[in-house]
Amino acid sequence: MTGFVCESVGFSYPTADGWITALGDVSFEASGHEIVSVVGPSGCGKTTLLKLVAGLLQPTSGAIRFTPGENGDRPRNALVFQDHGIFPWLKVVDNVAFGLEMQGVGLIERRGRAMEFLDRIGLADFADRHPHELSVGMRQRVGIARAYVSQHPILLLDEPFGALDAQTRLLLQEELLGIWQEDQKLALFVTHDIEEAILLGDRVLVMSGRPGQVVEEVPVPLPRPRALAAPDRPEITEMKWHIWHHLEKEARRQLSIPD
Amino acid sequence: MAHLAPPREGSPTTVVDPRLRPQRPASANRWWGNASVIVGALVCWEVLVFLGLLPGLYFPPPTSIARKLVELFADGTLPRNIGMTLYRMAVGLLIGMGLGFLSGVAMGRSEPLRRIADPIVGAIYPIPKIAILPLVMIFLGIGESSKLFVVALAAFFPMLISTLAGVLQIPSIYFEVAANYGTGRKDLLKRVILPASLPTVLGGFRIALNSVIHVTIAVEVVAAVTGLGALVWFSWETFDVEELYATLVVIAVLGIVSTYGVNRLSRKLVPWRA
Repeated sequence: MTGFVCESVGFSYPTADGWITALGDVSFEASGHEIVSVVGPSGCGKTTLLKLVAGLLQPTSGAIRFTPGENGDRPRNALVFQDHGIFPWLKVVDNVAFGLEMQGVGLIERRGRAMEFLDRIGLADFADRHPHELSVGMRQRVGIARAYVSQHPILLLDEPFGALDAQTRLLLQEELLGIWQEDQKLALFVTHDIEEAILLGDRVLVMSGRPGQVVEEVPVPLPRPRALAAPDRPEITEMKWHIWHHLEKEARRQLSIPD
Repeated sequence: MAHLAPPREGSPTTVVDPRLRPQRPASANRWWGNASVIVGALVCWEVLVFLGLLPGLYFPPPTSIARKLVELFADGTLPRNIGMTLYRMAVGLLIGMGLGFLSGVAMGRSEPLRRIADPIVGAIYPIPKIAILPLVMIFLGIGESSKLFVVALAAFFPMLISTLAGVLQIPSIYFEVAANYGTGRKDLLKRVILPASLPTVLGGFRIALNSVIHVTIAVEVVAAVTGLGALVWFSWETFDVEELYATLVVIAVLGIVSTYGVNRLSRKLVPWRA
């Protein structure tokens, strides 16, 4: 079963004014086919945590241990970025096929597999377009398609819907839930939107401000497949306020609003 | 999404008041505008010489320059010299641009290298390349190689500088995406660094091409017996004013054609910046 364990993971980096600790001491585990949401105030090190799990950064303290994949290697992951994550010089189809291309899959086959996925999510008509011809929301869908088509067992999402308007976000959340329901992967979903964290995740890791730490882990007992009409349920509202109280202090501090 | 679909024939959305539709695309109009200004100036010139208001010795009438052009093409003088100039430009451009691009990428990707090479580039770049020719001739002799070297140098620096700028401005997110999908060094260069820096690199190509035209002609004026620059100097020595003008016309056309070519190429190579 795919999974990983973060053991007291910390990350610091040097600046002109000395070392800055972006991530304090983060421990949690994730395995199987679950969606783990990570929510926290801006600047709490959410993205750093994601990049550490992705292997783009190395922890300066602690360690991340992965359950080896079928071939004994560390399981591969696919990142979805908030914006500008897809290449403007590649057509949509080649962006979606990029992961396969890097795995050495031939042109015909990788385009075929990319087209199949684009067809499934209704983007096939835009396969030959360049990203600048697409709306921001469509570009994010292309980014998610690329991550899915690459077939990596771990999905890492860095506020993928953060730059979208509320309506678009709702539709894309629904679409992501649908795609995930059909092909379940282990996903780490970073967001600053509490409701989004609850609606998508099986658990919500609540992080504090810098240095970032996990202050609470909130299980989300909602059944799957999920419908997005659920937010009206009283227990979700309760959960939302519970998480908000954790984040409120930090948010006030950042804005200089007294308690 | 619906508005992105091609409009069907006869559907009400395609109805456009014909008075609003321009007769020709704006670029075509501009082309005709430019052409008519030049033709107008040439006609004035011809008339002024004909009326004796301009001395024909220094300003031979355009018709006689045109006659001279035809003559020089027919007797093979121009084809031979154009060929030689184009050869020097092409070889110098290819070598200089290739090395400039690779050096730019290397400097963009390596901070220590950048720190060492930056002051050297800064010191050599501003020297007019024609002024380096005598020094180069000491090392490489008075033959073709010293000329090609200087022409290549003219292409090298603009290319290096714009490639460096192009590589440095690549958003780090593209490198992260590439690393995330396990992109190797070769693919990183081919699929990320080259296309991501291409718009800036093409800007450098434009400057390099201009600089190569200038330096090639200058080198030929000073130190060659063939090529358009040499022909300009030869016409001066024999006081063949018509030939002098005819050669300058060819050089001007060369510049115009290359600028047009680069613009066309840019639009083709960088469709995502259309």
